[in-house]
Amino acid sequence: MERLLMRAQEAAYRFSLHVCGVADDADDAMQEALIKTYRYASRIREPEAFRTWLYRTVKNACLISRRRRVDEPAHVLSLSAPAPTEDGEPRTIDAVDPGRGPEDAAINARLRERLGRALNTLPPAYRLVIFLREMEGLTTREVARVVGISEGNVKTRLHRARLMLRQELEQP
Amino acid sequence: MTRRPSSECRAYLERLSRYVDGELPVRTRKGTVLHLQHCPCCHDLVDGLRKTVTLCHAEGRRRLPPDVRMRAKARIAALLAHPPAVSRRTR
Repeated sequence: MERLLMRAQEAAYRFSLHVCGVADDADDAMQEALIKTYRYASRIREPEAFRTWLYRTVKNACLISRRRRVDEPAHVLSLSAPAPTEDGEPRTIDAVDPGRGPEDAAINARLRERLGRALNTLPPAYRLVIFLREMEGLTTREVARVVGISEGNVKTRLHRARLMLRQELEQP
Repeated sequence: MTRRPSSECRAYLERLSRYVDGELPVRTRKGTVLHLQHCPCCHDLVDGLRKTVTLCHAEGRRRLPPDVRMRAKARIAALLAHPPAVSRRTR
């Protein structure tokens, strides 16, 4: 049970940060996800059904938190730091191949920061699909259920979002 | 990346993302592989797409920051110590 409740909060935290881009709302979303998961836990039968339920719940919790806010920030926050750093220097991708070595060594702070900025340039609908499919590892079918679109549309958004993201990441 | 995609390459754009996922039908895949062997631009693009996907995967596997994790654990402890009444309606 504790593991399930932690997982729900982790999902809510990442969703707040990566999709909504509002770190301040993460605690509210985590609390909401925690309570709802606790209440839903006894009904869990299939892992896939739980995953789609969880991300739908988290999505709604984040949207509710956003509606409560008057001053929604215009930018997604850095994925690596509490606040974005603006030094005015042009940022370049480090010559680190994220596909090699231990993940913590491969993905460094600057790369994460760039990813956060690149994610922010995506249309929200594309950002949501990238987050669910690539970061959270949901299947195409699960993403379709969470977002409420067809699997074909999920794939189209995913492929377009990847191209946009790659282009942003490779900007000098 | 400095190479500019040609009009032929543009036709491959979304196909290349599907290629990375191994989603292309055999015939289309063969044509794409052939194109990649002769097109450094699309070869770079595939490389970039793979790195982008890997970067996203790695980001998704990161653990919560220690302070956030501590707060999450405290919330769970408080909830389990004083569980709220479970209503019939969960959504």
